[in-house]
Amino acid sequence: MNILIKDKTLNIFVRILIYTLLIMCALYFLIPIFVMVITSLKDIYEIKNGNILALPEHITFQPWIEAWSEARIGSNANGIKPYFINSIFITVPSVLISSVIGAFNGYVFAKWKFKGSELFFSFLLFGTFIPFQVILLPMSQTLGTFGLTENVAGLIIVHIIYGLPFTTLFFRNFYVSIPTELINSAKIDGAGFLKIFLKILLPVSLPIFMVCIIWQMTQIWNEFLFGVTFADASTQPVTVALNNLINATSSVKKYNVDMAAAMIAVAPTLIAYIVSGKYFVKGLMAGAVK
Amino acid sequence: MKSKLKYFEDSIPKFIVSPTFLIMITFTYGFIIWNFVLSLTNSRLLPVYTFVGFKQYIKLFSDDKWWIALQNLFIFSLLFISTCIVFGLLLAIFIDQKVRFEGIFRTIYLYPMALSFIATGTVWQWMLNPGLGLEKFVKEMGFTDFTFNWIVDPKMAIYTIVIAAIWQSTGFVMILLLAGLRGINSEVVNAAKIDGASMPKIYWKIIIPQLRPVFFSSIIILLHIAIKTFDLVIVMTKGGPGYSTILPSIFMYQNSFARNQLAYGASSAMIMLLFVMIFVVPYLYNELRSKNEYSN
Amino acid sequence: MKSLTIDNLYKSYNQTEVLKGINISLEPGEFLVLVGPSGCGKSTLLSCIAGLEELTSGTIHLGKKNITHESPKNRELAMVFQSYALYPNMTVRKNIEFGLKISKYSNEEIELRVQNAAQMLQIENLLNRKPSQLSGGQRQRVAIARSISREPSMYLFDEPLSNLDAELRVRMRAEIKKLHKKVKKTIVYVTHDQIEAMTLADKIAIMHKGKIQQFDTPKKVYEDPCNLFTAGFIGSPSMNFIDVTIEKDGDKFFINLKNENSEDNYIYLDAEYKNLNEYVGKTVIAGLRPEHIQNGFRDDKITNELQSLNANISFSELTGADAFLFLKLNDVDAIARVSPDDLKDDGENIELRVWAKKILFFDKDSELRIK
Repeated sequence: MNILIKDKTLNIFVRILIYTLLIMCALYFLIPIFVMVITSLKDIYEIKNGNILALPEHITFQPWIEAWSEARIGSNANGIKPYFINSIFITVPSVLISSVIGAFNGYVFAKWKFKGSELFFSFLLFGTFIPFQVILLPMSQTLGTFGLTENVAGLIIVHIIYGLPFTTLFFRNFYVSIPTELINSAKIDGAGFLKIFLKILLPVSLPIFMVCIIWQMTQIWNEFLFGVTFADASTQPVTVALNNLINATSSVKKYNVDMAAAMIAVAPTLIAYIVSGKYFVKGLMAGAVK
Repeated sequence: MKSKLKYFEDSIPKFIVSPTFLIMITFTYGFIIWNFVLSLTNSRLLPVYTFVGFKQYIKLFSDDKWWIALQNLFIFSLLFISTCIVFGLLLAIFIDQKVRFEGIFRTIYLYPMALSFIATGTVWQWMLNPGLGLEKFVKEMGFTDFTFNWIVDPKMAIYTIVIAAIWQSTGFVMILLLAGLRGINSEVVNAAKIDGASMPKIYWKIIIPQLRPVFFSSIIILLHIAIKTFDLVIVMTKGGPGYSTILPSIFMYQNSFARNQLAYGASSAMIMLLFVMIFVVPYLYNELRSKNEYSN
Repeated sequence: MKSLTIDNLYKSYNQTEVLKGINISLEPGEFLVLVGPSGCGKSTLLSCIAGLEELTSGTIHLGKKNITHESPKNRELAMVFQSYALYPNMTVRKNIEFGLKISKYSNEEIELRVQNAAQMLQIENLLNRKPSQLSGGQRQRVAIARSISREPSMYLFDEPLSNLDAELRVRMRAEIKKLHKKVKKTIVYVTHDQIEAMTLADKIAIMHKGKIQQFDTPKKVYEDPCNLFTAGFIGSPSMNFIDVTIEKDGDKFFINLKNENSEDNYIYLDAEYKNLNEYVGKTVIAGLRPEHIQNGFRDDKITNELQSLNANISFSELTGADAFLFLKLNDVDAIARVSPDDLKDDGENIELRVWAKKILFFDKDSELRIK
């Protein structure tokens, strides 16, 4: 055996080791979704008698059809479709409204500071950390009083309220990085608050809008606690419906339908992630750089 | 004296953020106070404002199930945070080695963050299903004595939650640490190489210490995720078997909405807030103070 | 053309006073340079004049109009920033038009002004480019063109040349001076570079710690500084400051500049000093500019007024046009600026000539000039 291992050999060995470890970790992360997909394409016989990692012998889309429109969730047997639609109705307005308000707020906190604005911002920032359990009861009382649980409007309002600190944070950090001299120059040119926002900041704000929208969309679409507390049977979002399906005590367990339903539930955010992963990552980083 | 017009112009920014201000005062801080008030009452199904002092809190800390919840939270947080950090750091270091297909690896490690905890819990409780899941797979590979029924074992169920949570959140820590690694001045590393240090030593003595701020942020964020963990437990074990996987968030929900113990649930929520504040307030104070020092 | 008058301007941030009693009166069309070290308050003062900051007390008048509390757009100003502040998403043309459109000029008027400004700054061929496609010098010109097109009553410049390399800076300095001659408007210009201040200004305001140290023409600031700070700030290399004792021989004052070899150099002061009598026997600070210590080969006219100074050369720097000799006088480092011909080597003794008439004196405690 050579005592002297040449640097080059060591290097190659180390690189093979690195790639091997990275690939093994990749498998660890990919196996669950692989299992989700193949389980959703098997019939129940194969599931009971085969093993969890085996590819389906006969591919069937029946579980998907059942998950979408026939599965029994709660007291209805209309599948996950109505709840999927609920989620759309909840997510789209919440994302848009909270982002727009956040943009204006971020603009003020970054470029039009006033006495107390930094303190205000700190308190707002703290709001991103509170465990929502602590507002759950007061909010359910309030929504109940205004009859907003039978309406997706209730959840929309909740998501906007508790999304504002995040969207404000994103835009504020972004606008802080735009040189103030640009704003000053526009002020001297005669532009006021709104004109500076519309003509100078907004045209360069597309990246942060993308980040904010992707982040909010992921947060709101995947959200469960508010959904399970503030919605009634007709207004529940897809996450709550999925949980009801999985944990239904009264019916026979149909694992393939469960998995198909889960795939449907994650489809929008997963697709958004794959298509615009760059913005997703920026969102995570921006959220962390508080 | 400022002209009327100037007053108007200066007021526009304040006017724009005033709705958010009102919302924050009412729905965040106002509600926290309301919740605190509730926790001082005897409310069961409906809020009833008869004050009983800290009776609910005393009841809380004499409740076995609450202590189980706290214990679970402690175990969960410890394992979850430390594993995510170590695992995330290793992944970040490996990816930073100028590997090809870095983008693909990153995408694969991070995609779980795009899924809801419900979906994550769904697939993991399926994979850990004793009888049909991985246990069966390993048995059929020849290890006929292999059992992996943690998910239905009261003593081990909490660890299944940990496994699922790590799977979901490691990618996030990896991204943060990778950004931190890339922010390190390469000249410092080169100087160390010229001084003769080996790469492992350089990582251990020079690079990792410089990542301290990133570690701090990651720990705070992971702690925050741990305290809020609710969805994952609900879908995987519902807090069971029995009460073995109950967490404060579950405890609060069950007491407030299933068991009609409004004030009791409110008190547990206040304690959760306290936990978060103990960690987050000093951290935020420190961060904001140092940022202000720099900008002055 | 309008005059600029600032009366007793004070500005505080929270509890800290950053501008303390600023008084300025500029004639119409004059070029004022605010110069001083970092933190002296010059940029803050400019922001107050521009209306970007509120002052704590005092007034600002442009011509007859009191603009103290007006918003920037009502002050008839234009401003050029250190980073040029060009709107990144607009073309050069749109950048110049932006303010004009807000003021609601007609399209013909706007086009006329754009062309005019573009011609003056020679950027006609850049009108359709975006700022990211321009070099530093080009962006600078666009920023200036933008302010010209507004045809303001006063121009404000905030360290506009700081981001340019040395050569470009010299050229742009000349451009700005030419521009002033052309537009003939009042200009307030902030810089930390005293060469820019000296070459561009009609009037200089030297600022230090929130106060104006001296407000005068460049020539007066250079030759007749009112305190130690002003004397030391203007001039490169800066004035030599040497502790000396005032002595009297009959009715003539003299001082002693001991060199490194402990040899005495008695310099008789032949200028008129009104207040120097009070300082006989006391230590004061003598200020002597490097170019006033010569090797006698320059100006014939003043040869009679030169007195000899024997010194030892610690080391020398040759710039080609001059030589800077580093000496030690009264144990203090001093620099002499001499002709590069016929020099002695480092370490050797040399006989220099001091133009004694140009020596200035400063009180050691108050740092004020002793006249």
